[in-house]
Amino acid sequence: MRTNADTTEEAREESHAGTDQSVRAQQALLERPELSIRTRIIVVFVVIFVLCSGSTVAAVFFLSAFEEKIGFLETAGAYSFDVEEARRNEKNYFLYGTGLPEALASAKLARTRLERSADQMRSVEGVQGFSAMEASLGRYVSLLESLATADANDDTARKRELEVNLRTEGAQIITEAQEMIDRERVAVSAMLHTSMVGAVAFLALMLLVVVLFGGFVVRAVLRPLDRFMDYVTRIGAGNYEPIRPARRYRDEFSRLAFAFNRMLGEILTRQEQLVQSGKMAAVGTLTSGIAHELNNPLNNIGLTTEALLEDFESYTDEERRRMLDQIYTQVERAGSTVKNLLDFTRKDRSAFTALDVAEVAASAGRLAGNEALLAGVVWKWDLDGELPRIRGNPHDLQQVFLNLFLNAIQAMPEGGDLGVRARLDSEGFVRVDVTDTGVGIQAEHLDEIFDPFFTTKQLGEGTGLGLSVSHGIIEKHGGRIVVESEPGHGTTFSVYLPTTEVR
Amino acid sequence: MSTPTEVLVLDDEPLVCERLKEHLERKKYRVEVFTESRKAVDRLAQKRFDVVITDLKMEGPNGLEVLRFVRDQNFGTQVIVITGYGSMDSAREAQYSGAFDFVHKPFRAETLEATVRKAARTARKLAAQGAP
Repeated sequence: MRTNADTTEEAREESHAGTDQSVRAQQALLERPELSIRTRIIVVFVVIFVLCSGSTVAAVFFLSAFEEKIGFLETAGAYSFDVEEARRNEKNYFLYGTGLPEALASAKLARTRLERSADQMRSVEGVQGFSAMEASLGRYVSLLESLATADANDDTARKRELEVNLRTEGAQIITEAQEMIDRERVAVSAMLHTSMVGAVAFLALMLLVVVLFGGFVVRAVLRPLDRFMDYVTRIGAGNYEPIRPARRYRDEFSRLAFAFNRMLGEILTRQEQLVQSGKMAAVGTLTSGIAHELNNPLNNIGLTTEALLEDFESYTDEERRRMLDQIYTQVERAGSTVKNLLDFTRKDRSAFTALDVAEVAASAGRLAGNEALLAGVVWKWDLDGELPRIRGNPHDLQQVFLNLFLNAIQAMPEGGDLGVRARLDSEGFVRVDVTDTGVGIQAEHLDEIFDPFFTTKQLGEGTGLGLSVSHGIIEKHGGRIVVESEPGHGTTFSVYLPTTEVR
Repeated sequence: MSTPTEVLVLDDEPLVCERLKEHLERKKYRVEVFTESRKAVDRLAQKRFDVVITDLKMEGPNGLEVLRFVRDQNFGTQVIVITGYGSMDSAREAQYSGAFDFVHKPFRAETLEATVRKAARTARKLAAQGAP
């Protein structure tokens, strides 16, 4: 047999279980490293900004290189023109004897151009290529100068000799100029191609960043939102378990979860208050029954005391002793009524113990006994005496059955049968059916009867709290409560309570 | 008062029956007590009583049904209704149905006896006037 102290100890332990669970969940939420969504968004935008800046700098650099290339191409074009001009005049000289000074002037101009842009040329054509060009042009100019000397001396043989050399060198410098321009054209077109490829690559990189960012938004924002939708649905259905961490990092949603858990704590407190209000409302309904329950023993005590006071002498000692015994019994009877009532209204924080549902239902039946008698309602008890025990709060469950009984009695103002049947069902639930033969519930009200403050009763007859509070209590026990009703014939409320361990 | 007044007491509380029987018999009433209304109604069908004292709420036929049964017999029998419930609707209904008086628990045996005496006087007068 368990001692009273054991039970109290266990109850205390269990009453704190709910709070501890919540505190542990809150700690777990806070203990993770913080990586806020704000930080992550800032990081993503910084990355995008760096990428854009990089591409802009690259573009500016590229454009300036391009501009230089174009400028060089112009210089190369002018050089090529001068060289061609020199060769044309050189040919005129050999054909018609005119144009030698012009050829020399053009060739010198070409040399000046080459010298002026020597640095640029060297960097583009390479030192060797430039030196070769400079040497060819130098040789050509000196040949022209030699030709001018030969022309002044009228040295025909020398002129013939120079003509052959001039043709060779002339062809060489034209080829070199042409090759340089061709090379530069190829280089410019390669640069253009590179710039196009670069632009496409940058676009692809941005696409990658956007896709990654999108993935991040889904992971960091939309998924938690989905999860929170689930939490809200779950909480709405009456499951007030605290939210536990689902990810490795702490962010804004963790703060939301933290706030949610605090709200759940508040809801639980409010629900306890609601349960207490429900109890008080039930006590209000019981008042006339309680009056009867107290008036009967008081009346018996009064009558017996009166008889002793008036006719003390006429009773034998044995009779007096018996009458005093009767008085004592009636005092105990009144006392137990008051105790029952106080037990029922006592506030106790979710102390779960092993209990027999049939016993709890029977005790609720005793509380409502006089109400039934008053309304001419006949009890039909059918309790399985071998039911497995369940874990639950006896006072809360007593309240559930009392609510169901009082509702049933109120549904039968002209009297009727109130059936209470307790069985173990095939799924391992203890099932208690509370059946009345009363007015029944209209089909359109069946969905609403478990809502707080829903009532079809007159003002002062019901608060609309009874069933919603009962629903909450049964859910807390991991069970369910269902209703079936046929207007005009009666209603059955079925309470299912799990026999396995409940939280 | 040649013949003793006949009183039937019906209450599901055995102690009420016991105390009222003692008290009223000491005052020279002839008293029969019942804790079950079914048996009381059977007895009322057999025998005429001057006064019936009945509890209002009981299993089986309740106080009002006993009251109606007695009125229907029309023997001039007076009914005193006692109850532990403070429900005024039932009280009013009882009076409309022709109860002689309505007594709330807890009451004194002496007070009830005074009411029984008055009820008995009325019952005898009615019986003398026109009872079959």
